[in-house]
Amino acid sequence: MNRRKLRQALSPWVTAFGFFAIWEVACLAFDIPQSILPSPIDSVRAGIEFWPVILSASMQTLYTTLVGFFLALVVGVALGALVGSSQAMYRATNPLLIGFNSVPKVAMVPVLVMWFGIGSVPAILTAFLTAFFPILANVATGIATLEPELADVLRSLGAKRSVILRKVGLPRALPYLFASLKVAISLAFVGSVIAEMVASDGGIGYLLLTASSSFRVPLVFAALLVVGVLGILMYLIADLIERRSTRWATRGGGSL
Amino acid sequence: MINTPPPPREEPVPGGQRPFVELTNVSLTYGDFGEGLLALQDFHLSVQQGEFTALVGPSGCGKSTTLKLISGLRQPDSGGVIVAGKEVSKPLKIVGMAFQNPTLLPWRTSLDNVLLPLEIVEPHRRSFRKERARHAERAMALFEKVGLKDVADRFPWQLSGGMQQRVSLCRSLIHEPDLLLLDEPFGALDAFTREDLWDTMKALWEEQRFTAVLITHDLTESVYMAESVHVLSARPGRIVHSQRIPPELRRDRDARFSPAFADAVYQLRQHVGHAQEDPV
Repeated sequence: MNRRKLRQALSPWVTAFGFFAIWEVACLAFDIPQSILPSPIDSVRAGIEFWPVILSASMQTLYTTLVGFFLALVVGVALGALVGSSQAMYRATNPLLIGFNSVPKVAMVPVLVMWFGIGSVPAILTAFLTAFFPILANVATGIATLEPELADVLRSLGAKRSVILRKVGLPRALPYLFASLKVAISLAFVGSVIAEMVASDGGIGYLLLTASSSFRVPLVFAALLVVGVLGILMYLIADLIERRSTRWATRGGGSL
Repeated sequence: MINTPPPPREEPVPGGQRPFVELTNVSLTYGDFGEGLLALQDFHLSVQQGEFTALVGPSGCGKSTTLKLISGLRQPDSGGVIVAGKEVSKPLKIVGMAFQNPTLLPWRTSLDNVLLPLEIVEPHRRSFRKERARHAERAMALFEKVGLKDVADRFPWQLSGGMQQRVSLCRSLIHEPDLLLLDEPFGALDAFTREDLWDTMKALWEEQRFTAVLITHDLTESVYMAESVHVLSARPGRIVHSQRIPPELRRDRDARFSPAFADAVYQLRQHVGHAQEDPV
């Protein structure tokens, strides 16, 4: 590894370290009380102290996020393919979908709780509802922007709609899909945490809520740090899958 | 009494055979809800089996529309389209198509791009997996002819524009279509690459003698490639002039610089000019 590459690889770590260092120094220099803004070290200490609680809460949130995300993936790809492969379908469903996407998902949590009770199900469904729209929209775009000439070539070979979709539409939509997955996984995570904060008996959201209502501010921040780290991890996984599977879209110029 | 000469025939029909492609009285309006553009009106065209025909004309005069009608991708509002003795009512499976844009699939290698039609068209489709090696061999033979042998495993984005267009032409020919429809496939290439591709295309046609319809803006190209050239008027498109090109003009590269070649181009040019000045 030469110098430039080393610098590139280290730069995100340096930035993150710098951020926490400034935070720490600011807390010390201005003597900010722990109950308002705990320093990173205090937060980490709280995290270590309460690690079994944080761990089980993280696992719960991770579980609801991933289940919701995979539901969103399946439904989003299926609906996206349907909407993207037909002009008529697109025109008919688009306003409804946009309207649906504009409804704040927090507003739906009470409804979900009424239907399914307190527990994992509302969190899973909220994660699903927040995440599925970007997947649908991107897959539909990827399929709908197929070059008309290419469609002509295939149709003149006698290809049916389903064949065009399988041979060209879906592969073509893959880069769009993976780009949306990175957004969707973050959104699913937000959806889960929000649902847990509104109505749940477990998960990081619930932990945040109980910790803040009992003024354990360092624990709140420890939980927030965990949320951030988990978000980065899931983003990285989606990114890795993307680069592996659609190298042609980046013309082989990816950093792998 | 003086005998009046018989009216001259536009197209000599060899052996009284029906034309392979025949458009009679075709009209087509683009767009829905009645406010559309009249693309073609009272359009007639006939192409013999094995003939290389070119359509030239001002842009937007319905040349591409004509190809869509022939291939069955569009149906005319009125009039008849007959290909290989049958009325065309749905997309034909005996055609190959190539466009100005190579439209290759970026996730497939050149070879896999060329094999795509065989994965779709009957009867190859069913047995594609079993026969893949044989098909690949055939594709490689075609690659050898057009100078692509060394790039079979490359992806389209690793090839130059001329190479991509060669792959696209191979894709249009791999399933041995009876009818090849070319929509300005040489249009976006640089002059030297274009000359090379003209010769490549001609060699393939000489060998396989499929029926070909070429759309182009380039009169030199039309005279060099085609046995007969039709000039279309501006919209609504109609053939205003047809010209047969003597074989000696198409023989080799040098023929393009002969006075007779220049005459043929000049003659066509005058009719294109006319078509532009008088849109109705």
